[in-house]
Amino acid sequence: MKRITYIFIAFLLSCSLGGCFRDLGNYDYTAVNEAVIGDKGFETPYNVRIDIDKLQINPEISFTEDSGSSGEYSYEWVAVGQNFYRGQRFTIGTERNLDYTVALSAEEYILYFKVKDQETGIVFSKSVELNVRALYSTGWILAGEDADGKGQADMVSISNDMLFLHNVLKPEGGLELSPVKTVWIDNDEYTSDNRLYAGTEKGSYKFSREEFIGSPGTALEYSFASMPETGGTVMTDNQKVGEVRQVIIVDKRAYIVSTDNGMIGNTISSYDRMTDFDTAGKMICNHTGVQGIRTFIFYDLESRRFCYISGLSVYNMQMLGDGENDTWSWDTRNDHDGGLEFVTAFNSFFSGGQGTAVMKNPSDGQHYIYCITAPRTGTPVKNGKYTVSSDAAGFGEASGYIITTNQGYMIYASGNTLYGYNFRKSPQEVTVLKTFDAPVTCLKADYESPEKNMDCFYAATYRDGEANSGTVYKFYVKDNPDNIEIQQKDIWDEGFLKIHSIIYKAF
Amino acid sequence: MMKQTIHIISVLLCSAAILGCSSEIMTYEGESGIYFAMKRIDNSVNSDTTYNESSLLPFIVTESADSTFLLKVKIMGPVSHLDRKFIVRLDEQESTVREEDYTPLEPSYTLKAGEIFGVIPITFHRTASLGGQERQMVLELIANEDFALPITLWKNSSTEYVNVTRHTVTVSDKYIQLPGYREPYFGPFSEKKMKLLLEISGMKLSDFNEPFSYTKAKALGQQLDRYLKEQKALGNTIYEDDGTEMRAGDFIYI
Repeated sequence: MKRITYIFIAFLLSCSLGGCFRDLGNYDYTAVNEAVIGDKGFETPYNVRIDIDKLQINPEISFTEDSGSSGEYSYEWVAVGQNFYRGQRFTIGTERNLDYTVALSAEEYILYFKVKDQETGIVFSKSVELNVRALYSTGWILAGEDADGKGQADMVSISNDMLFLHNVLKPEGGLELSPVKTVWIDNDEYTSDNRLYAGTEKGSYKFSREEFIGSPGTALEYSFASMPETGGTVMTDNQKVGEVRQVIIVDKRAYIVSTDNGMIGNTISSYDRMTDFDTAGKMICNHTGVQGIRTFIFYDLESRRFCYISGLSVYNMQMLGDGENDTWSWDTRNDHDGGLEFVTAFNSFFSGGQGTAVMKNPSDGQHYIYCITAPRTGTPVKNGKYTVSSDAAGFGEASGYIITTNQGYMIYASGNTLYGYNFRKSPQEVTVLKTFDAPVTCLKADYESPEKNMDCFYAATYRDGEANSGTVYKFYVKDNPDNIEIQQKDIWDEGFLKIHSIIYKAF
Repeated sequence: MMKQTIHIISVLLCSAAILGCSSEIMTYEGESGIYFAMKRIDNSVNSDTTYNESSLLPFIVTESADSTFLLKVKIMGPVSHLDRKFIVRLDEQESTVREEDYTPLEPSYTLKAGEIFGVIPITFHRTASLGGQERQMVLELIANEDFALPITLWKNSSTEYVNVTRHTVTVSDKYIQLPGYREPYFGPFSEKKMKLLLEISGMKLSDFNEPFSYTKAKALGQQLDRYLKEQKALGNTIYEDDGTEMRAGDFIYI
């Protein structure tokens, strides 16, 4: 009996010890059936457009233990967002071969192809970059008016191959636009206010950046933190240097656009934060310094002098003082009785980002060119003041001006003619560069697109009274210190609108 | 004796052998709890998980004769497939509301089966005696057979704890500092300044019932500052009722 008891105890002991033992061994090895996915279809990134392009990938797969591919497998094509939809998964196919009309949102993705062996549950995968762009992702937005005088925009889409798109703005809710004079889009991918701004003759509206949808409810006036007494309606300029500062001019008042969802604070067109003054409709800034240049230069229409903002926090304008030996004054009243009228201002890549203001003496009609730079730190820099030669035909009535990047020549358009103007030379030289078959309605220097350092510009023409007669010409300026020469690179005779404003959309 | 020892060892080993083979998944074994869950509405990133221990019911904003305030509770522990009761009591010692100010509370409220949130509707009346006054209703949760009170203090942040078993509702019929009124931009609150802000901004009092973005608050503060300075320059300095000069906040140009 005792012996049986001891045997029973020994049995129980082995059971209890065995219960505590964890056997991690695998003593029965078998080869795993691996899916080997070939490189074909996964070698180069895909750049596709929503609703237009198809993704068709027929992967090559072999199975190490199933040469006839007779096993049971499931397949999945998953796009994983990398930026805006970071980490989000979108399944776009569950068949072995992918045949998918792109309907993903515009974004950079990694596309994973997954093969699952249903018998073992093991998943094998291969990936490739997938860049999805909306039809309106990248290209030149050409804003203006149609033959009936209604505001609209066309687009040269260069998302993949070049497409010419018409009437891309989608006004909803009964919104009718008057001619769009100023168009601007935020090319900061991570902006808090991803909008296209359209400044028309009678009002300004924000449109969604991807679909270009706007309505009376997206009027710019609703972006003001506090409704300005001027109404907040007509935007004439909108500039953003890098991701640092966005400044807008609306109804002759300048404002900082906040990173707080694009909300606009009180005007900065004031020296003492007590009295506001009218500011010219265009400003000078420096697009060569995308990182950190917060200086913007304005023209005070009431005092007829230049003023500026700079630094981190800005709530009002600063006046500019002249040096003892300066040959001209920031205050145009010091050089001309009653001061000068403002004609326009524009920016360039010349000489580290020189800006230009075209001014006019109302008493004698003489025009002047002021060259000014917004520096990284400190006050604006005077680069020169030039009296416009009487040889510069149609200068005062020009429909557009640009400064070339390499040599700093001025190119302006008046009527059907494109002029090259070397105003820095003595004596000045004016050259007819081209005569179009229709008046030029807009000139645009490229300091936004990937070709921004190529000294490239665009001219838009339109035959009045002839609907859809807008044409865009693309030119390169030759880097020639002796003569102004341009080379016509493209003509887009695609039945565009009457174009007043051009902006590049980066993505 | 030896036999008895052997028997005891046998029983112990038997149970060890059986237990050694078993595995168990731990499930929630705590008691069901309840707490006040009045979310803080602000612009902070964690506003979803931060709670207030007090709320405002300003009749001057609602402009109605009666107003029903919805006090939210949330449960801890498993969701039940049965309706359950919870109890909320008025702390008469701490409260200053009068009987005519509100419709009496129910003896208990029901948390419906399958729900994790419950609501206590409290109807307040804009009585004549409330004019120009504000009164507090202090409410506390009482443990019952369905719900315990395992949490008293809720950690909003590393430095801020709020009591989530007691909640104070301030009912008022006078100008009070609403969530949109931000002292850094508007300066110390006063009824007179609030009325002036409404006048110069063209806004409604109800617009101040939600927090503004800093851009908007700053813009309004700057407007107030400019107006006060303009009036002073005209010889019409504006004073608070206590005789001090009215001023905007200190952060309008920072």
